[in-house]
Amino acid sequence: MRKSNRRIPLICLAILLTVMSCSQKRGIFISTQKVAPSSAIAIIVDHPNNIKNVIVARFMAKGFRVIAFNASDLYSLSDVFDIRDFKKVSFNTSLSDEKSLLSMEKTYDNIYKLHVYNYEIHKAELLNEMKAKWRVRYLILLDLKDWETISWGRAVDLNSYEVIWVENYPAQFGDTTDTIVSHFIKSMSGL
Amino acid sequence: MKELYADSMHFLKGIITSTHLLKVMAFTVILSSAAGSVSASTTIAFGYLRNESGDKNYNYLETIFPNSFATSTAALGMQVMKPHAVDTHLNATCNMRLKKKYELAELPGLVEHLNADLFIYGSFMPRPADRIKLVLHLYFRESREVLIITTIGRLETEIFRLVDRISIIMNNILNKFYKVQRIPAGSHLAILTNVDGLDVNKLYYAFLKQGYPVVCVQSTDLSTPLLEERFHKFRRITTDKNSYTVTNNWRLMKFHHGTWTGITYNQRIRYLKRIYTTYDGDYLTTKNRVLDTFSTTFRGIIDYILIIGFDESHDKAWVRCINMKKRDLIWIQWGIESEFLTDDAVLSIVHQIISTMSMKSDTPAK
Repeated sequence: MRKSNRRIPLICLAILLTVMSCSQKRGIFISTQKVAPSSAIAIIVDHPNNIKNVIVARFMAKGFRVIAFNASDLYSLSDVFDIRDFKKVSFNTSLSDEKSLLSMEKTYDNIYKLHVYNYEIHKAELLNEMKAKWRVRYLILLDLKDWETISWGRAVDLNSYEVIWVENYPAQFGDTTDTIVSHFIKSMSGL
Repeated sequence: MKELYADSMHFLKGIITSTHLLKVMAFTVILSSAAGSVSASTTIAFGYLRNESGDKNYNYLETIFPNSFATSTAALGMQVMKPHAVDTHLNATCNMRLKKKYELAELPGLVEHLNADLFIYGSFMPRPADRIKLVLHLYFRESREVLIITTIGRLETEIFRLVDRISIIMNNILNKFYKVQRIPAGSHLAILTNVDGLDVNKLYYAFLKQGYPVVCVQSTDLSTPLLEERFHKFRRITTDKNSYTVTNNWRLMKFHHGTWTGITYNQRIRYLKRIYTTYDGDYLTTKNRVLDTFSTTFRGIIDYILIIGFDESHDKAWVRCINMKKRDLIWIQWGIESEFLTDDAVLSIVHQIISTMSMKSDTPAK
């Protein structure tokens, strides 16, 4: 087979692979409402303090009123009453008693499901308190990643309880924490 | 160059033998199957539809309905057993008779005797203005789960129209789909799912783009605390009219106690009984109370709770949807697969979900 004929399928394969890998890193963006720069916001991130400082500084530089707040203090899954009942679901039965095991499993499942609903209720009550006490209007969640991965952000309006901004942003070559945060600020505020 | 070519061909073969080929095969199987056909070897046994009105003039429908459903189902190529055949079989094999009413816990034993994959029974109640309420129980032998659906229709003078409509519903259920109403754009959705980060953003993006406001349930966490495996417990939902649940009877549990037990032990047994009563026997009451609080906390803006469970590879999902205004399970679907050769399985599945949501008809979007 001639060299040129062998090259053609290889080139096609390379293009196909490039397209497929690019599509995996495609960004998405939607905004139903702009986050005004003078708004009071609380930011939830899971990064070291130096990164947190960069993020907060960026927002403050753009005029946002950033409320100091630590997400890990806000709510945890164990702070809900139903969790006590998890421990009390009895194993006081014979393993060969299939009917009892089925009942136990069903009860355990129902406790878990209600626990999830109660957890969301608990969170919503705390967010409401945050809004009332500290006048926070928007909750911003950010997860920043390096080049060749995708950072994402999300904003929630605590007045309407709705998700108003969502973006998955593939980090570009040369992007830093600063530039990614600036990109997100521009995206959510329309500045 | 030769090595590169050989590597490329090897890689190409790897792609071909990957899940995409499996999807092609699955797609071919689905295409070649007639609409609504579960395996031809599926056996469905029909019990009676009990007359709950107390009016004996309607007793004839107790066998007419199941016989008609059975005939309609048999036309799709499945094996069926009509109530009379079921009764005869039970009498011959285990000296039992087919009853008109069963507790859920009795179903596993009954269906084992019948050697059927599915057992359908239920009840009906005529309503004013020539309407009829049908409650159907569909018990799946393999998973020991039962789907309970309530439907109100017109008691047609030509009853076959009602039978046809119900048969379509049953046919859809056999193909893992049941939906009773359209969910229009503009409805506020509370979404529970077992994906997070980038994938849950894709979910929100797709719904927001189609005009469905998303309420901040679960969206205020950086990562979901809902583990993938445990989340599948949400597949089973209990509401007033429609439920998808497992068969059990907590009253059969043994709580041994007697004169040999002390105060502490007795207190523990009482506490356990209270837990089983609250979370099993009276679960519907407990759950409705929680949902009331849930709705109130979010100021009543939630129209639907949409629960989407993805499998480990995120290319298959199931859906449950609860109408929060009526506290009713209105949509059950499982086996939703991403499109063939899609570059984003999660988005592909969500787009199918959104298409089905907005459709008025009872068939799922393809």
